[in-house]
Parts: sequence; structure tokens; C-alpha cells
Amino acid sequence: MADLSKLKRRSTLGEPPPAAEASRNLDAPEHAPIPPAPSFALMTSEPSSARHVTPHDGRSARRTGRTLQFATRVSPDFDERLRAIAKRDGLLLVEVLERALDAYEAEKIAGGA
Amino acid sequence: MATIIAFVSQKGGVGKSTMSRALAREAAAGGLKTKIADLDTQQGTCVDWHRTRLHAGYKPEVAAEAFQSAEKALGAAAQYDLLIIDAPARTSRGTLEIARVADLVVQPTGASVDDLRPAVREFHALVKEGIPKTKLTFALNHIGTPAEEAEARAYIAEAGYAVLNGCLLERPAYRKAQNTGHSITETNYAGLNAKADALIQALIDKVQTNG
Repeated sequence: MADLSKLKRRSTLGEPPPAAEASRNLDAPEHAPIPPAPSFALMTSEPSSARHVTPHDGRSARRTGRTLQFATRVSPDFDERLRAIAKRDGLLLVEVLERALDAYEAEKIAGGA
Repeated sequence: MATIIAFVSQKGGVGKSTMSRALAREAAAGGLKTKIADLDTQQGTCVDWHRTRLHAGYKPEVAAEAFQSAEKALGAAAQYDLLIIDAPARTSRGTLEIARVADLVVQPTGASVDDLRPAVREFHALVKEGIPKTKLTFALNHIGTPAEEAEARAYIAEAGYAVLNGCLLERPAYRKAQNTGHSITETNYAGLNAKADALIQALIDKVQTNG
């Protein structure tokens, strides 16, 4: 039988990213901004006086508190751009949003705003 | 001036604290005045582990302290032979500050493409900022099979980076050991201890080669 041991098997990992795809995380401030208290403002049209009320139901009792539901309406163009960036950079949608928020805050700090 | 070895990553759970503790344990056993600078003040995993270890009375004692910033941790370096920086699970300007003065920057990673691809991007960013590639090395963790290890090594080599000889296998015994204040070189299994020890030795050899 032929000896195929010297032939390399095709990698399942694909090619590593080129230098041009360097992460931009080194621009981020050393300390991550402290997330604001959970707000339901994005999901409700209730008046502000009614916001920040923690609902007590079965789901809230089970949840760990590490994440919360975040829902909002966006334009098709925004949705397409967000998903394209996430796919290109191998990120979750939330990771793109987190980085965008970090960049926004860093820009505000740098601009002294 | 202390030798500074930093464990960095954009992700949590890759093995920064695990390797920091093992290196600190072996260095302390070798008589070096060693400190783990735990920069993840939100989690403080190394500080908690240090407390558990102290409470259990395991020898050698391994010192760990939480620091609020890279600058503060680096400021304490002169008091030690070896300062081990256990960085937070995110990269930032602080990572660059650490990389500039560290003798070696280790990025632990798993073997999946989801681990490797972003990890390579982080090192690309450090190189872009002028950090020499000789200072940067990957360390493989959570490895399941020799084939998986080989494939990850080939990927990292193709990306242009070094990877330490040896690796940590995916084993509950490593977690159990650390739960009780031991390091991964102190499990109940001689084979796993030897494997962990070999990785730490490779790390030390790499520092000496660079020095």
C-alpha cells in the first residue's frame, strides 16, 4: 500500500487572518465602562416614571442576571451593516455593538466631551 | 528589575489564571520572590485562589495581589524576582503598556478556529504597535487529541507566531486541583502534573532564550 504519511492533511482550521486584520482592541480604554443599570427604556413606551421596575415573574426568578433581553427596531441598512461586520470579523452581533459603544465612549473622552 | 511574564487574552476561560498560578507555584518552589499581579479586579480569580491556598496551608506560599491598573502592577515589579501579570479577559491600552515592558507575553488559547482566529488578531495588533514577535507566544490549552494540537500548532506557525512546547489537556482534574488551592502541577495524577510542568518549563526556557 502506498505510504501517504508525508502528504499533509488539509487543515480544518483554514488560514489564519492576515496582519491587516489586526484587532483594534488596543485602542480601547484599560477599564471597561461600567454597564448602566438594566433599563427597560429600549423595550417600552411607558413613561420614565414607570421604568427601572424589575418585573417579578418566573423568568426573572430563574435568570442569572448576567445578561438581559435587548430588543429595538433598526433600519434594514443598519441590520445589514452590523451582520456583515460580525460575519467578516467572526464576532457575535452583541460583540460588535459592545465595541462600537466602547469606541464611542473613547472618542467622547478623547474629544473632551 | 524583575522578570515580567504576562498572560493576556481578549477572552475569558482560556487559561491565563491557570498558567499564572502554575508558573508562580513553580517559581516560588524554586526560591524566586514571585508575585501574581491580578489585574482582573472584577473577578480576582488569582486573589481568591491565593486565599484558598493560604487557608489550606499548602507550600510553597504563592503571593497574589489585585492591582487596579497595569501601571500600578508594573510599578511594583522592582520588589520581585518574577512578576506574573494575570491580565483581564479583554485587551486594551493596558495590554499594550504591559507588552512594552514584559519579557514575555503569553496568550493561552484553545484549538478551535473560534479561539485561534481572534487570538492571532490580538497578536497582530501588538506587532502593529511595535512589540517584537519574539516577545509573543501562544500556549495551547484545553487540548483533546494530538491531532488537534498539531493542527493548532500549524495554524499558529502559519500566522507567524511561536507556540510553547507542550500543552494542557482538557481534564477535570486540573479544575478540581485549582478549586482547592492547588496549581495544575499539583493534581492527584502524576501524568497530568508532568504535562503541566513541561509547559511551564517551556515557558521559562522561552524567557531564557529571549533574555
